[in-house]
Amino acid sequence: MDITSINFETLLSVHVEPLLSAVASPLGILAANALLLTGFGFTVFSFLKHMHPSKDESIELLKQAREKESRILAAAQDESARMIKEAAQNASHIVSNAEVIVRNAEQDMKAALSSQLQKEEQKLAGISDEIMAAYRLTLESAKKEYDKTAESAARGIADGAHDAIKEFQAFFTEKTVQYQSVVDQHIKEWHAEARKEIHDYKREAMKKIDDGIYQIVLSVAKQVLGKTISMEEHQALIVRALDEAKKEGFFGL
Amino acid sequence: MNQLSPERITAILGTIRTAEDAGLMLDAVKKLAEELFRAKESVPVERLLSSLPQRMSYALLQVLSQPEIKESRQATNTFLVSLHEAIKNMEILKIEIAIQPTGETIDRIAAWVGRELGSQIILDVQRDASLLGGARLIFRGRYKEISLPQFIDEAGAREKEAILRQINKPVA
Repeated sequence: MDITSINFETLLSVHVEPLLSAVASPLGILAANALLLTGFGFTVFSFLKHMHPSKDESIELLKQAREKESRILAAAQDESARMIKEAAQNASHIVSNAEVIVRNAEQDMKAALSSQLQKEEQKLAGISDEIMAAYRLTLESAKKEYDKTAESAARGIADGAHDAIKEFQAFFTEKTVQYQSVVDQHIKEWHAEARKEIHDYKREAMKKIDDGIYQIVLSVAKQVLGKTISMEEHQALIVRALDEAKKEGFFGL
Repeated sequence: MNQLSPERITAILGTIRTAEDAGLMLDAVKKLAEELFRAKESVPVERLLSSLPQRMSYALLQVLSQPEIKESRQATNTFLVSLHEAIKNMEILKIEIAIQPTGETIDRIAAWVGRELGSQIILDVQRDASLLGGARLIFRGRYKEISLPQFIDEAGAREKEAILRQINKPVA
């Protein structure tokens, strides 16, 4: 392979650009440059190794090679700068596009959301109407059921009350009879007790009267005896008192 | 000096029936003692004892006329001191009765006391008409009433049923 026929642009387009396009970042660019230089060194080394020119030719070739190398390097540098600039522009563009896309996406999202909300609201409104309708139906049904139940309950209560009144009347009659019996018994007992109390009271009163009369009799007897007994009888009573006192040990002699 | 018989003192005390009697006897004893040692002519003993009831003066003269007393001033004095002391030692029985205490009543009471309780007791007899009969006795600080109302109450209690029957007997 002749070194002069080597098309560096082709080389770059084949080996480097895919890499550069893969990595459109400053780090990628630096890596691309490193690869480029490596590839170039490798080519020169292969060329020098397979070719054995003369000294002058070698010098000339070397000189040409150096010039070409310089041109290639300059071109590579320009290309690199251009690629970097382009990558930056692309990046800037991408960023701008991304912002636009984000904005558009937000707007789309909002619009979609708004639309969805509207739909949901409509749906909910529909559901609400259905629920209200169902509720009204249920309410009416419940009301009817309630009225029916209430009527039935009222009828039951009325029937129950009627029965209860009858039972109560029977109970009341029975209890009245019982109570009347108890009252009659109590009245009889009370009468007997009252009669006994009256009897006792009468007996007590009679006893008090008797005692009173008895005391009056004794008092009269004392007064009468005290005034009517003779001196001899008085003396006899005194001696009797002395006798009794002695008998009772009053003198202690 | 001859020993004075206690019975002679007792005999004199037996004539003292009341507190008043005791007072009179003490006065007489005092006069006798005063007269005993008088230097001037002595007053006859009978005159000195004229204030005493006869029974008391008689009992006293009986002792004083005894030769061993009459002939010895010392014996007479000893007798008078002993009598004075014996009178002072007599106990008083206070009796309240419903009637005015006459001599006869007091004699009867005194006779009972002398017979039943001895001669060492003198009477203090008072009247309380509320008793109606019987006596209220006070002796050695103790008190007892045995009166007509009590007699009637006792009799009434015994005969109460009969009395009440009589009271409640329907009038014919």
